[in-house]
Amino acid sequence: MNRVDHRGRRRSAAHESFLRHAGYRYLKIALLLTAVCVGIYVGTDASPVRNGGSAAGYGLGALATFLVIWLAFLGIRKRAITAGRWSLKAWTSAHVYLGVAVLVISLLHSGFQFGLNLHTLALLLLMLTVVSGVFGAIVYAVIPKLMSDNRGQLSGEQMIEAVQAVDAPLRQAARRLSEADALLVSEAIEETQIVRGVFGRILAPDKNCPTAKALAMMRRQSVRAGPLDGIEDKDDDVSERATRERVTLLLERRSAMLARARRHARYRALLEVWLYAHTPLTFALLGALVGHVVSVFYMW
Amino acid sequence: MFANISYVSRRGSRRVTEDTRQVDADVLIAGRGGDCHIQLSDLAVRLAHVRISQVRTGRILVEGLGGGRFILSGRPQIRAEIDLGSGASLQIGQHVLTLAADESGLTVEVEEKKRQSRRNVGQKGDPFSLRGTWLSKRFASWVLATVVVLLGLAAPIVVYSEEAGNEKHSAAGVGAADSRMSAFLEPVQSRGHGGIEGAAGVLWSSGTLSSAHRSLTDDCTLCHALPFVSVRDETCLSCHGEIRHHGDPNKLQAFSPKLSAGAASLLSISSFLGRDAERCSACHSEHNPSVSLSSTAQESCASCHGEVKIDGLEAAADFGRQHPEFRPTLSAGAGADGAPTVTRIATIADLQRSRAERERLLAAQGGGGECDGFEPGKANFRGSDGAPLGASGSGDRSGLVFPHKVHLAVDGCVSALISRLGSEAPYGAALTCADCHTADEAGQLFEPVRMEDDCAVCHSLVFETSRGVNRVLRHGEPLEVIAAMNDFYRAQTIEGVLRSEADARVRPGPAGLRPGALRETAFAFASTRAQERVEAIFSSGGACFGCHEITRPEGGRIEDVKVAPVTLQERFLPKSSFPHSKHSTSACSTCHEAETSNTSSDVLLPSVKTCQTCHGGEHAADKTPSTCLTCHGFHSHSETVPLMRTRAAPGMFFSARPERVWADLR
Repeated sequence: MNRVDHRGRRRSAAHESFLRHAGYRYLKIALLLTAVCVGIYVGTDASPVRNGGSAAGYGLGALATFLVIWLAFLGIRKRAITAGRWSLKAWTSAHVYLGVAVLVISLLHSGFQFGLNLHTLALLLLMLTVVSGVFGAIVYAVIPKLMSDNRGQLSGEQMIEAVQAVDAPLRQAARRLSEADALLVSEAIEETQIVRGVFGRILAPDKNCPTAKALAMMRRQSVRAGPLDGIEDKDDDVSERATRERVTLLLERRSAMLARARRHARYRALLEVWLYAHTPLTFALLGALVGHVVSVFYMW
Repeated sequence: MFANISYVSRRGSRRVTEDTRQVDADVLIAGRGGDCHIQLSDLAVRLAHVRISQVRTGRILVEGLGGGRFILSGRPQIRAEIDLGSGASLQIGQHVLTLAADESGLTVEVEEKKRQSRRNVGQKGDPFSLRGTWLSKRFASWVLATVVVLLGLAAPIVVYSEEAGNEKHSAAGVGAADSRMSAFLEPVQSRGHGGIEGAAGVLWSSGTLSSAHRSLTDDCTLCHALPFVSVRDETCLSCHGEIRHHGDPNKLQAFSPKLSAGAASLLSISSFLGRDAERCSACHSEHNPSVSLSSTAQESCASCHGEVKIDGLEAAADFGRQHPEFRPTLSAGAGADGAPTVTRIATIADLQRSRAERERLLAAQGGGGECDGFEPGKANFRGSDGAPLGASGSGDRSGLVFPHKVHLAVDGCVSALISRLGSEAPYGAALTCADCHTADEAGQLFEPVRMEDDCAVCHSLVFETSRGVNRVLRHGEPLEVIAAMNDFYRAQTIEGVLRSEADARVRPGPAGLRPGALRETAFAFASTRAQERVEAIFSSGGACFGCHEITRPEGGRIEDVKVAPVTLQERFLPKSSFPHSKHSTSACSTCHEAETSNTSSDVLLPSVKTCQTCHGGEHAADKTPSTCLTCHGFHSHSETVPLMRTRAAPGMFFSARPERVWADLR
């Protein structure tokens, strides 16, 4: 569904991914640019070998350098929000497609010559930067939908509250449990970490979860019911059983709430973690690029 | 014991009593269980945790049940008697029990402490964001970028500028170019390389050096003398100063093809940056281990030679498709001053045509028979047509008479002679090419044929045998030959005369010839005999005449005889190289039509078409790809061509103006 904005331009109301922005305009531009560069690489005579030292090589290198610097500017650009042709979405779309193109252009610039030196380090850093960026683009394309499905209408804070909301009734219900079981439940309440560390939350969100452990124990013991120690309780086993069932139910509920919060944490981490590689790699790349360019002309 | 139990909690700084109970019992049980007197809703507390009993008024006994502990005065206890005179405070799990006693009984105040640790969220702020974790974009960015720039850029620059400073210092007062050159020749160890310079070199090097320059690997500033200035020709020429140009530079300039606008503008940018098209490194590109140090692309030659006819040379752009016929350098006999001359007019195709014509004429005359006029045992053969073929027509005028056909025939007069000589001749049943032509050490061409080594086995210079001793003529010295023969026959005569005079003294009887008359007659005979024999070897059927072109002025003395100088060409195609060793799998006759050649004037080189059956241009797919440099060199060997010289490019990058470069190198 389209609507017309106050300047008379038709704007789509439907959400459009940054990848398909403006009918894949920047994908087309990047493909065209890459094709032109491949044409230059193949079509020009660069004797004795094709590398960065030929006229075409210098040209491709200059283009790649310009593109890398422009791509790095997204970090500054994204802090200013504008609309229209130069909207952040347009800029991001161009960033993604030209970022992949710059990898191809750099490889052409290198003439596929590699070695254990600063020049190849720059290329390696560029590759890693682009790969981390591609990972980021993929998670940005895939994760938001999953995240939205997972969260329902809840905010992150509400998800944590949903976990904690079970604590009081659970504590209440567990009052009549035996010492060992009560301790397990107590640990489940006190020691369960909803969001684990950086790698834990992504790779194994449920590892060593006291809540899961308590739940497993409760389920295992649900058929057995020993006498309460200390004071002789002459109530029949029914109340004992009811207590266990209620605790189990509450632990199950807590587990479900935990799982949802942890999925949320995992998605959030995936959305963010690549940038912790992409940004430092970008700066390392900029350093290596300066080194590469200066060293090449220093030893011209 | 009567007890008043109140449950309190804190709301901010206010204490609020939530619930109060009165109990009258012998003992008070405190625990988690629903039937305890004092209820502690803490899962860490046992169902029945402690029992409190009164010892006497104002003194109580607290006992842990089933191992339940409590904290009194900061210490965990299992059993304690407490005097409540000034009150007491017990801690069980999260609960604090404040106890006091008065006349009415015991007062117990139960307060649950606020839970402090909530590890379950793990971090401050938004617990789902990575922002609060140990990860840091900024820190990692700074560290990585700094390490890369310091190690990859700053450290090598420091190393190289120190190195350059040291060299300048040590080269004070000495031509820097010379000092560089001597540095090249020093053993690598004594230059103190490897180490940190080597590491910096590895980091910056864009590829390994060619094998010729491999020993300079750790010494970047030897060639990269000035920072931000492209490697200068001066640096190359400090070692390679004897290299000559391709031709006269002014002529080369005149023949340079017109460049396209794009190429011209690229060239002018390049020149402006101090990298003109004619610099050494334009063709000799280093740090490219996968290719030859010298550019072999045929386009570099074809850009000039492909279109224009330069200095009488025909256009050549691709060996397979566009290459002119070979035009060999041939002997042209003696010049006006008697010195040998060469000609380079006829192409192989021309020569092959005239050879075919000559063969045709010879056949028409009925000549061309293999051994016409040959008498075994005498060096009297003179060629099939009975005329000194080497002197006539176009072809190579080496001064020799030599029909390859006769020598190579399997069942001919030469093979007959070889079989007659038997083990004296170091040959097989018939002669082969290798019996006379020996490859040179480089495997390129062949050693020059020498009479003594290659001909004399058959072509004997023995002119007499006296008392079992062969008398041999000296080859190559006609006047000495004449003198030696005269001397020999005179000596023979003297010997005869002396013998007859001795006989006369002892022999009685009437006197015969007077001794004086006998001597006169004998010496006259010796002179005539010597004259005849000398005449014979320089005439048809004679030993010299068989192989050499001999002229004698009409009516002149025998001493005036002229043997044409022998000028065998060592290289018929001096502007190209041809490694015969690389072609040893092919028979000689694949390229050289020697078996049918009747005269030494025949040029037995193959046509370019023969080469083209196997070799194509640089981009040939179905033939051996060959570039111009496969056969030709760029730098001239002619002494008339000037040495490569340094050029002052019109403009240069930064401060590297030509004067500066020179100043730095001097």
